[in-house]
Amino acid sequence: MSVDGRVSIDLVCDGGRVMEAIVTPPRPVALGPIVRARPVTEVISAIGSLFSVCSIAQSAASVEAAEAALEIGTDRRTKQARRLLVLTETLREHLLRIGLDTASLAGEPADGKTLRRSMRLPQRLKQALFPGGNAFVPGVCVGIPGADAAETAAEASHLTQSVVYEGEKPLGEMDRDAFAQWAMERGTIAARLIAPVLARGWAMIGHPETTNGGNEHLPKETSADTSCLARQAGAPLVRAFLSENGGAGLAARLAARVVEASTLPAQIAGGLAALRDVAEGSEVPTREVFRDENGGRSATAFAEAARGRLEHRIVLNDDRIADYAITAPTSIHFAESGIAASSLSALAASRREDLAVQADLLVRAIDPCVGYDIRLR
Amino acid sequence: MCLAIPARVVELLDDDMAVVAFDRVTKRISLALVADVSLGDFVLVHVGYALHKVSPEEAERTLQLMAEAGVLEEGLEEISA
Repeated sequence: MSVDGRVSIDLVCDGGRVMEAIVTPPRPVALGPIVRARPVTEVISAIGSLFSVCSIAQSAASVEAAEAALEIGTDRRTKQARRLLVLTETLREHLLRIGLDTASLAGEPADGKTLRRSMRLPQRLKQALFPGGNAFVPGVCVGIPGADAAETAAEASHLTQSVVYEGEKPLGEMDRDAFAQWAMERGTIAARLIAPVLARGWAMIGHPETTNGGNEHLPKETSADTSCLARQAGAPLVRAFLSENGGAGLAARLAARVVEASTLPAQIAGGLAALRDVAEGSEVPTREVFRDENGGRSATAFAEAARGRLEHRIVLNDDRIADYAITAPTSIHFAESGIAASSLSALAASRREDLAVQADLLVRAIDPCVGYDIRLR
Repeated sequence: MCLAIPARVVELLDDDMAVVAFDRVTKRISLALVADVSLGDFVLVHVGYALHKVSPEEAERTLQLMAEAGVLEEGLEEISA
């Protein structure tokens, strides 16, 4: 098992142009000693505590893998409720990233009141759907959502309209001109982040095809991108910022974030309404279980976190953990030859100070919750 | 990074800032994301921000897990960065 530690980035520059981006990926750390031979429920709980930044997505993938390996059918309504919790956590991460980046770029304090309300959304929904209980215990069943859940969904919608977008035409269906017009009106926090990026001509920075940076040798197959850019690449607005082969600069990544955030409240509210129509006790098929010759059972499950796809693989022996592995998107995005390295190596600015700001924006656009250090050399 | 380290609030500053301590390491962090933090509270710290308040028991449990997993050093980097 590995975890995502702090990423170290060295940008080798010639004037304002990055010649090479040297990305030192997160240090893999073996967690085997703390999970091996422990009961499944204890390990799921430990994973939620350890990976507390996206604990809901981590716990959701963990419990789904565990239920499959234990051959416990997952209640259909519960699976849907857990998915809604993951979506709410993703929305929170997007709102935080947008709020903090806007403040950082403008050199002003963040809107603490709005951010604090955003922070509470996932826990509020969790309490509303699983009152007094744990959403991530194998075999648990959710009830019918009540008024608390609906109020949380309404709060999510209100915050998103304030931070990201409010309008009749879906943000994802805008063309580039309409998007730029919306940004220049600066009606939301997100618009105040996008506007200076476009005004400074930074829309395509970090696009691997815009310069001849020194990382051209990086193999393309290692550039797997599971971030919100990949999830939203089909939206016309995001597509408008992509090159023919899918290459993305800063604007495409920022557009993907605001488009995804703008759609999440409706998905959450719609998902809550749909929970009422799911027949009680109906089960979804568990994921495939593999058995070894010693009686061990293994299963894999996924969760789409804000930063990308988490994969949890669990191996059980007599209902206790024999092995456990997490593949996290940060490890892939910030691999030595991953998308961060190829994007950062394409940076070029007339002033070195701008280069540092661009690099910060780009790293956070790729992964909203990575800890990192950047050095310009 | 998806690790956040529990740390104790040892000083409350103006403008939603605070000083937190873990072991002998202290760091100035932002409390912008968490409401009603008092002196002595434990908070989870990630990239310079307190994310949540946690009970002393939860803080101790998480620190123990991090130590067992060998990731406490990562957490300390988080505090000292």
